[in-house]
Formats: sequence, structure tokens, C-alpha cells
Amino acid sequence: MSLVIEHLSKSFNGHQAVKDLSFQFTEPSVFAFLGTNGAGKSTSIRMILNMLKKDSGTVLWKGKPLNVLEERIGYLAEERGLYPKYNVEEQMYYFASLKGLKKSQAAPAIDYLFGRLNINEYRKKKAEQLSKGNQQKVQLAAALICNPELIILDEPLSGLDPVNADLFKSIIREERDKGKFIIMSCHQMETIEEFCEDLVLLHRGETVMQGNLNEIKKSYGRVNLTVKADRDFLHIADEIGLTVVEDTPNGTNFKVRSDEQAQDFLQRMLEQKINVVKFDLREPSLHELFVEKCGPAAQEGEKTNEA
Amino acid sequence: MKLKGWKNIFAFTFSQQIKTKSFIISTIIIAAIITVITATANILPVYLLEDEISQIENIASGDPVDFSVSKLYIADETGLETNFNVTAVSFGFKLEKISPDEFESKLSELETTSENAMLARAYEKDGILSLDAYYAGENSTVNPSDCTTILSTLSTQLQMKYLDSLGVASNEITTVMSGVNTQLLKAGKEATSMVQDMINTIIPMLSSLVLFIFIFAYSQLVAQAIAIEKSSRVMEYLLTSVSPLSIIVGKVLAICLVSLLQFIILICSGVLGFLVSMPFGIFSKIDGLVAAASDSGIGASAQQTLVDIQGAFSNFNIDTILIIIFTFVLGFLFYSLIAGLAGASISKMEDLSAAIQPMSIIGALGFYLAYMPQIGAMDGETNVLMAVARYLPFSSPFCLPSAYMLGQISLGEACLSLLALLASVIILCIIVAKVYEHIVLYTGDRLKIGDMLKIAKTSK
Repeated sequence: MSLVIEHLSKSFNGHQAVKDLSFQFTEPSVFAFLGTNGAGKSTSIRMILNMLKKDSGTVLWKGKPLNVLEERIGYLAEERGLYPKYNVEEQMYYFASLKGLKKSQAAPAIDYLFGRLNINEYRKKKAEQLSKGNQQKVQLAAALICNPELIILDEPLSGLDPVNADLFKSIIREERDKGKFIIMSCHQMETIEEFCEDLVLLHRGETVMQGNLNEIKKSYGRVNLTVKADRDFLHIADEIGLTVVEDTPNGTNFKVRSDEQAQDFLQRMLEQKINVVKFDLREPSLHELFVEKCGPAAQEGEKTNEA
Repeated sequence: MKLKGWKNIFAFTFSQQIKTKSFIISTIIIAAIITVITATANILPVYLLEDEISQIENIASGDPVDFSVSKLYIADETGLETNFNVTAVSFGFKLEKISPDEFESKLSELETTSENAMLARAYEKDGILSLDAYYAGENSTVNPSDCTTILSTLSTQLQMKYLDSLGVASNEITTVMSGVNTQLLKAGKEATSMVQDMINTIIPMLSSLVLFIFIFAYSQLVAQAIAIEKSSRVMEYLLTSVSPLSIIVGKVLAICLVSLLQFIILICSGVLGFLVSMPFGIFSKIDGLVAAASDSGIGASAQQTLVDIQGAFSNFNIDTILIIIFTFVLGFLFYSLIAGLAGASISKMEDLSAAIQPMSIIGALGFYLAYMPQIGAMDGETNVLMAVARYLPFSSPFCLPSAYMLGQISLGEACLSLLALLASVIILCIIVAKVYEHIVLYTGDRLKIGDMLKIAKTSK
């Protein structure tokens, strides 16, 4: 069982929203689908789910073109909602029926999910009477009602308080452990690092990074250095050609070329009797990678290339 | 399997719509009003015409009529020896023949008597038969309208006796007494009475109005339902389970059934009001009244009116019912498909009224095209506009049933009109399916008609 996306492209009125997107999702796990706002994530998801017509490309699920109406697919859309005036429980039975579940099959699933999400007390209420967080729980329940094999969660944690965010995370973890294929789009990079092994990063419709997160990090090496000391050490950094990336209360961040350069820097500080409080040499975080690929520096680079 | 799941959408939409307070309350209130109106229309004439009905009923049953006149003095100077006893028995008064000499003294007595008496004198002058009658003065309680009725009956008897004396056979007398019906007709046109002409105008206008209200109001509900789905962002979830075509088909058919259900409930409530009031209403007595009126020569014009009404509704058979249902359903589909498209062209509820404006214009145009020519057609004659309106898809739903019911068009013409409507619905369905699929997730500003047509043209 695998999801294979090949050369997916889409443009609107001459604007290229998604350009030649390809990736493979071969093992049950959580796959990160990342990008800045407007990068083309939702458009790609809609094309994968066949809601939007593709300009080109194929979406294969279990080796065949994905027929979203026939497969068990759970989807939590970024722009989500419920019928505001209708009873929550009736809506759930309706969504279950659209997924092909009989009432007798839907009832235990609803009982389980509503219990797991702590929303049993809202069953008979109209959706508009629920808080945004509780509506989001109902929508997650709707996405999972058919025990889907492929789950697509577009910003599942946005707008949730920490307690409910943890609840959602635990449910995502449970689904992952059940052997589901989960594609998750999220702007909280710590959460992605917590869950995901593989990722795709989109920027202005183009894939700017993709693959296994650990391997990507390793390929960058330990190039991020944070230093904090009891007195000024910037002249030493200057001597060995290090430039400051960011100066924060927790220390000064540098980009180093190699472990040797970092060791040289430390040695020089010690020789000058500088008391080093913090010297942290590490791989880049996903947040840093994201900013590097999609942040202002990347945009400057694009402008230069265009020029 | 493009329509997979439409039944679930249909069932959910239907069950939610009939549970809404607006549907329940409006149905109950309108049904109650219709029940009361039909019952009142049936019962009210019985009270308004209480005396007249009682008199005619007594004539029909052969019982003495409870008239205020208890005695009739009659001086017959014609020499025809008419037997007025028949009238006396029918109306339940005593008859006393008097000689011409007694007439003046009886007239003097009549001024002061407390007896509910009447005095009549039949005579011939210059070859003309005359019948003068007087009723008792202020001390009595004689009702002048009773006297008029009696006088009219005495006059009929006198004429019949006169003809008999001339040797006219009894069947010829009946023919002569029936009078001569006159009509002024336009060449090439069937004869219709004024009542028929009124019916031919009022029924189409009323049915146009009722069909317009139902079809148009419920079509707007389709637009609203689609718009709610889009604005509440449920649409994206639904599309992982069903196709856009299933959504619009399920919704349109569900709301069509809701409107048909309300339509039938309202018709049933009218029938209920009629049936409940039947024992006390005019319609339970009508046959007897017509027969009695016919026998006695009273109310011949009323009888003709009833015949005209019967004639106007004589086409209300199974064909008509089927044509009403087909027209209603196809007309609803025509407008609700446009409405669905209007609902899908927006992403905010506040844009809804602007989005359905083109549909409102088409609907209003169709309605006036069906409605207005009726005003200029009081004589029941079909004019050019009426003929055109019956074949245009946006106006035919409002005028076809009444035209067929009143016999203004043949079954073949009605079927042709329905076929034109069906073809329009199919073409519209293809366009809507193409466009709807592409705009169902559209979340920008309201799409204009031109944009949607461009989408329909470019999508394969």
C-alpha cells in the first residue's frame, strides 16, 4: 500500500499554483506537507483528492489512480465547517452514511470518537452552539468516522488550546500506530518534528525540500552554533571568518562550515580566558530549514536569480 | 457512479428541511387558513341565503312552504278559470276566491287586518293579461319578498292556462314558457357565458400566482441550501464522499419533494375544509336546489351558473392532475437548477440576494408573461402572448396547467410544451453539472454569469 504522486501541476489564470509536485509515501506513518501560506498545499491536497482538476500528473493509491469516492479516506480540511443549524449527532450520522456506513455501523464509531474527544455532551446541540474548538473536534470525528486508511489533515491544530492540541496529537499518534497513512500540513514545526519522518516543503508552488527529515538534517551537518560567554567574543569570530546570524538573550547564533571551525573558535576563546557559558553545536532545526528555504533570504535569492 | 450518494443527500436534506420551524409553522398556518376559507366558502352561502334555500327545499320536498303569507284572496276576472290551488298547496296558504265586486271591500280590510293575507286580481285589458296583488298593511307580518315569489308563480300559472285555452299542447306550453335564450357571438368562436369568461380568466391568474409562489420560493431555498453548504465550509468535506453532481441532484430533488409535500398538504387541507363543512355547506344541497329551481322556474340563472362552473372544471381529470404534477416538477427543476448555480457562485451568505437577482428577473419575466395576458383575455380567447408563454420554459410552468384544465390547449399541445420544458431542464442540467463541478470550491468574490458561461464552455 502506498501513495505515489507524480508531476502534479496546476495553474490558475496563468499563475502556477503547483509545479511538478512528486513524492512517494510508502510506509504507514505521518508525512509532513509543509509550506508558507499560499505555497500550494491546499491546492495540492484538493488535486490529490480529485476535488480540483489537475493540469497534469497522477495520483496513485495502492498502485491505481486514486478514486476518492470509493476509498476510505479521512479529510480534515483547512477551511472546515459544519451545518450551523443542524444537530451535531445527526450531522455525524449523515457524514457516516456518505462514507457508506449503515446506522448500525456508524453508532459505535460515533460513540467511540465522541467519547475519545470528550464531546458526548454536545451530541444533541446545534453546531453553532459549540465553541470553535469543540466544532473542530466534531470535524476530526467526521474525518475518522469511516476508519480511513489514508488520512489528510490540513492544519489540524490551528486554533486549538494546548490541552486540546495535546488531545489531537494523541489521536494522530493512535492512528499512526494503527498503521494509517497520514498526511499532515501544519505550521508548528515542533509538532512536525515530533511526528513526521518524511516531508515535502513547498514554496510558491515549487518543491524546495523533500525527503527524510533526519537525512535532510544530517546532510546539512552540525552547522548551527550558539555561543554565550561572560564577555565579548565577537572579535574572535571575526578572526576566523564567522558571521553572526542572530543575537538573542540566550546566546549568539553563528553558521559554521565544519566541526573543526567550531572547535577552533572554542579553543581561541579558552586561550583568551573567556568564560564560556554555552557552546551548542547542532544540526539545523526544521524551523531553521523552513526559514532558510522559504524566508526572506530565499526570496532575496529568487529576486537575484530573476534579475 | 457519478451520482453515488445522492440518495443520502436527498434523505438528509429532506429530513432537515421538514424539521425546520419555518416549514412547520408556515405549513400549519397556511393549511389552517385554507381549511377555514374553503369551509367558510361552503357554509357561508347557507346562512346568507337561508330563507331562499328553505323555500326551494320545501318546494322540492312537496311540503308546505313556511311562507309568511297564510291566506290569498283572488278575484279572477279573466274567465280562464285557472286552478290556483296548486300554488296554494305548494306555498302552504289558504286560497279564497272572491267575486270582482268584493275586491274593493277586501282591499279596505287588508289595510288594517292583522291577518298575513294577500289580495290578487287577474284581468284582461286590451288583450293583455294582468295580475295585480296587494299585501296586508302594518298590522300584519307579511314579508313582501314572499308575496313577490307567490305573484311570480301565479303569473306563470295564468300564462300556462291562457295558452291552454288557445289550444296549445302541454309540451308546447313548456317550450314556450322556457323562454328564448339569446347570445351574441363572434364568428369562429364557441359560445361562452359571462360566468365562463370570468372563470376562464380567474383560474389561470390564480393558478399562475400559486405556481409562481411555490416554484420560486422553493427554488430560492435550493440556492440558500447550497450557499449555506459553501459558506459553512462543509462542501470540501462532502466532496471526499460524493461528487458535486450528487450534491446538487440530492438537494434539488429533496427540496422539490418538500415543496410538493407542502403543496399537497395545502390542497388536502382545502379538501378537508370542504369535507368537514359538507353537512352544513351549500354544496351538499346544490343538486336538490338546482332540481327544485328548475321545476319551479325559480333561479334559472343560478342553475346556469352552476352548469358553467361544472363545465369549467369538467377537464379536471387524471390527465390534468398529471400535467399539473409534471409541470410543477419540471418547472421547479428548471428554476432550482439556476438557483443551485446562483448559490454555488458565492461563498458568503450576504451575497445571496445579489446572486439570485438574475433568477428573480427571469422568474418575474416568466410570471408576468404567464399572468398579464390573462387580463386582456376576458373573453377566454387565446392571444399571441398567451400562446408564446405556454412554450417558453421560464413562463410555461406558470400557465400550462390552467390552460389545459380550461380546455384552451389540447393534450398534444400540453405534451409539446412539457417536452420543451424537459429539453430546457436537460440542457440546463448539463450546463449546471459542468459549471457546478468547477465552482463548487470557489471562495472568491461572487461569480458573474459571463464567468460561469466561460467555465461551461471551456470545461470538457
